[in-house]
Amino acid sequence: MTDRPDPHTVAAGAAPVEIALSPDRFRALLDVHGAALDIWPEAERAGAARLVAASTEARRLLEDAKRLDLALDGLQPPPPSDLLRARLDRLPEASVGSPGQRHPGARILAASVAAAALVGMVLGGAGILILRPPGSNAGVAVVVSDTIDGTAFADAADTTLDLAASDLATLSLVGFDMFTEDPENDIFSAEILAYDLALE
Amino acid sequence: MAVPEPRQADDDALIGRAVIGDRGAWRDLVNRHIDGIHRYAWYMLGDRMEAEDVVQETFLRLHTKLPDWRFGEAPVAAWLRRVAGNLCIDRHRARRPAGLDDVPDNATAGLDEAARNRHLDQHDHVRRALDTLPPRQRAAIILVHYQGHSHTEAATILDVTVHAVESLLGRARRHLRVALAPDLDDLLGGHS
Repeated sequence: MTDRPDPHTVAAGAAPVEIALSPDRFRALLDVHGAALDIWPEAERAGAARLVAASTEARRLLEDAKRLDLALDGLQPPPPSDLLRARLDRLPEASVGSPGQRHPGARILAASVAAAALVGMVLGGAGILILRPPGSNAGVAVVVSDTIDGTAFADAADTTLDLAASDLATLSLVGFDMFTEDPENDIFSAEILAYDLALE
Repeated sequence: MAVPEPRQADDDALIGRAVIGDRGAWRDLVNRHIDGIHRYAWYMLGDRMEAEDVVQETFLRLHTKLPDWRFGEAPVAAWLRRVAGNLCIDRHRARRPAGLDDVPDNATAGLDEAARNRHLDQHDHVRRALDTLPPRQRAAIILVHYQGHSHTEAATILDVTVHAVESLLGRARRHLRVALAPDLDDLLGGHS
């Protein structure tokens, strides 16, 4: 018979009796929370501190966990490149104009019937279409193949181009000006006035 | 290790301006989150180029989503990490093993040759150990250990319960402890 209370039993109305932390439980908690005991959940902190003070085994486990944390801390990533920062900065103009343009009321429906017919004709065969955002000399070159539905472009004002060979999934032209760049090599350009971009 | 997260209220205000085409607001939004998302992608993939591709794709998706952004729901930081994490998991299947080229130059600046070699060894060992973790365990240890998220925040990002996050963390650290144990003394050198 012992006069110590059963640590797993809390009598009704009595103050909670803290369950003693075993080394195995301590190791499991170290795996979950890491070696910085001061950021452990409050309910576990006091029991952990007592165990560490009383047990050589617990101190060894804590030291192992600290060494693991220290080893992990040695892995440091490089900073993002300036090129990535520049690409992200240009995303609004390079991808979809401005998001506001994607609302129906803000669309610029500027494609002329003539331009639409030209696009339809171009896409009827193979070639390269260079898409340029407004005010930019850089463009996205799109290989036009028979997989693209050229007939859709004949309807023009709200047209979908499937960029199967590109990172982009779907580009919907809602307004563009078309002109010939290198007809001998089937290269044409379209200055995009407004467009929608959707990712898969 | 951890860097404080940007305030959600500020992010909401920036999204509100970016959605009507305010380029400065978009730039501020990127600047507030690029470092955290880049670190997350790099820890997940261990490859600088792949990590940058994931970061670009993640922000492209954010930009595409701006008009439909639902204010007051997922914090921007959590949404970005969820997207980036899923992209990393998708890419991981085909990734090449990371090499020492991915060690940042500033990580070894000022070290003598022995210390530099030790650092490179440590980097390589830890990187390889991380890479052997299943992706969800790796994500959990990165979010909590390297990025300072609480278990609750990590659960939101990973779309699992807090209990599941703690299970992932427990298994991840056990695995890392075993994987790194034989070389820990050598790796840590004078630090142990």
